[in-house]
Amino acid sequence: MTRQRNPYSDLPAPRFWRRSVSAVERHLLDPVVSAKFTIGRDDRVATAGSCFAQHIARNLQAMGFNYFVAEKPDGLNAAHARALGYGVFSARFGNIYTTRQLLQLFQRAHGAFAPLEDHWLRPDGRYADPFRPNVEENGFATIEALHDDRARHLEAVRRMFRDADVFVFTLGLTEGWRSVHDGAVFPLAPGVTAGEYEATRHEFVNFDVAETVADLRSFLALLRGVNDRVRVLLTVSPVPLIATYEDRHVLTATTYSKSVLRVAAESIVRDHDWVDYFPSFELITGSFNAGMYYEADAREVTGTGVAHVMRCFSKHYLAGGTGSRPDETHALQSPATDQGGGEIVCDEEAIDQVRD
Amino acid sequence: MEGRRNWLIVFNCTNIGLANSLKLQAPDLEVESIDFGRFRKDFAAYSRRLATFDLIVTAPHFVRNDCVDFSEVAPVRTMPVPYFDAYHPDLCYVTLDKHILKGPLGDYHSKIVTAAFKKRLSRASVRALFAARHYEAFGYFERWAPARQSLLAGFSDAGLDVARYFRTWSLRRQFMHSVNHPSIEVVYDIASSLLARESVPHERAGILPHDNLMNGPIYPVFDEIAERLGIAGSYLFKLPAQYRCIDLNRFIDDSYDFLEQHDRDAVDVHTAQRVSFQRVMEAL
Repeated sequence: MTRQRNPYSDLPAPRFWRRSVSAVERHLLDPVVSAKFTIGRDDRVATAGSCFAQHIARNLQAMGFNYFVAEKPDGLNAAHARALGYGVFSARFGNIYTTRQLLQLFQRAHGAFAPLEDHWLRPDGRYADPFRPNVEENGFATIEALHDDRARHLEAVRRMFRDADVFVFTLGLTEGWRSVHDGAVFPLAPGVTAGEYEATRHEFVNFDVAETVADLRSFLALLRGVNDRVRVLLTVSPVPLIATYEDRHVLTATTYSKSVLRVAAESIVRDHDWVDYFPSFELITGSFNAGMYYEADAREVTGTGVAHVMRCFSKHYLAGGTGSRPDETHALQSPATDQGGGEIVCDEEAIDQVRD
Repeated sequence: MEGRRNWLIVFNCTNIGLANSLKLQAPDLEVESIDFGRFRKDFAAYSRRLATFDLIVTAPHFVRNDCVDFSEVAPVRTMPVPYFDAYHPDLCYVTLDKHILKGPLGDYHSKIVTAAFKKRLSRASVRALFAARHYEAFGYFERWAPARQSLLAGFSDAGLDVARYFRTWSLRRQFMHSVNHPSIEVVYDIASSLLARESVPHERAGILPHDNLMNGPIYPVFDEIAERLGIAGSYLFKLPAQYRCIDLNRFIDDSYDFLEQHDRDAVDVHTAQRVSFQRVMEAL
């Protein structure tokens, strides 16, 4: 009797949970089936996004790839430069959590948007940039200094968008705070580290799928307008919300937020052949790892989790990676290997040590 | 007690955890256990009783040993000694005139240190060999698949289904204290498989015996290897029979002190690990 065929009969192993998840040890799970492009050693790779994107930036640099730092410090030592936000991302924009923020960054850098909210006053009397309030550790002494630094920053942002070969963006959140008057979105709520919250000037926003997709689509069109060779890699941050302003549990809010971002990324990838999605979110949050990739606070990602993400990223997206070749095939074909290790006998003294 | 089955386990150092796990899961089973060495030594005491056991469980290589052929005295079944070197590819047994030498970590030595000693490298230069690029050259990152295959095939050939447990073993931490000392969770699952194979009613109540192998030496999973295997690594070597660890520098020093007491050319690595040791020697 022949087995009846069905649409799943001839599908490859990665399409089946039992074969590609249940049967695979945690550290070997690889959810990337194919990559739309690879990153060469000379390709300039720019990164932006939420804090998880920092891991990718750091690892790219450590692996000797051409991490594109468009905004460089003048005469600062490395530690001081890092403290001032240089090299954390490709320019000193700090964390970019929402796609609206990313879109507005591009628009601000290219003179298409000039937010009304110009500067925030810090508790210490110094000034902060509302769109990157934490990048200058000690704030700016004067508004002029802030403006000068912002001009340099936005020039670097333009350069980054124009010259990057690959732009990696990690989508972080859907919740944010914006100006009631012109819709300018801030990375932090006014008053958290600088500025002052006023209900007449600021409002909470939780972007939905349609808004997130539209913002991302608009950004990509603008990006391609200044850089027709750039390729984009989207990831979704697996780091849960630290707080929600919605009247619901932060866990529920996190699920909503990450779901919107994941759907948005998928929508974009499906109709842009130069944009790909890398599943770092799935690697960290997937049930296959039994929560092993989160610290005890169930929020911060462990180094082991980051290492797993980077192994898959390197394998599929970096030139010289092993691509789709199974790691294990090579090892299984090793011609010579040890034999008979199980027959080594512990002596009496060794046994006595473990007798009780 | 009449009607109770009576087993004898003659095995390596896991015999204690195995016997405890069997008894915990199958309350109606009587289990006596002994290691290979002591069995040989106390054979006179056992020889008269062997026929009284309903089953003797031992390793394949020990069925016909220098004292007795178990198959001639009682029903005998085998199970392989768990051996898995993916976490500890550097661990080796060092021999001199075919005798296993005991160093600072008892029977466990380092292939890197031993190879460096044989190649007359200064002890000061050895520390730098404990690094990812060297591990790559030594083949230390390639051990998971072959070690897994060998472990599972050995048990499968013996009719023991431990493959179902393997993913869970490796899920949260390393499941071996060394190449041949599994953690008690692994021993407990092997016991389940053994009971299933022998059709002994049993229940996995989740009450695990203490891990007696923790009192033995424990070889660390080096950071660079651990990262690739998705677990936390370390360079702390637990000493045998005491709850104290030494760091890598001390381990290298103590190992060199020990090895220098012996003839450099006569010191060798156990035949069972010589292929992988040769690769370290050639890469140095």
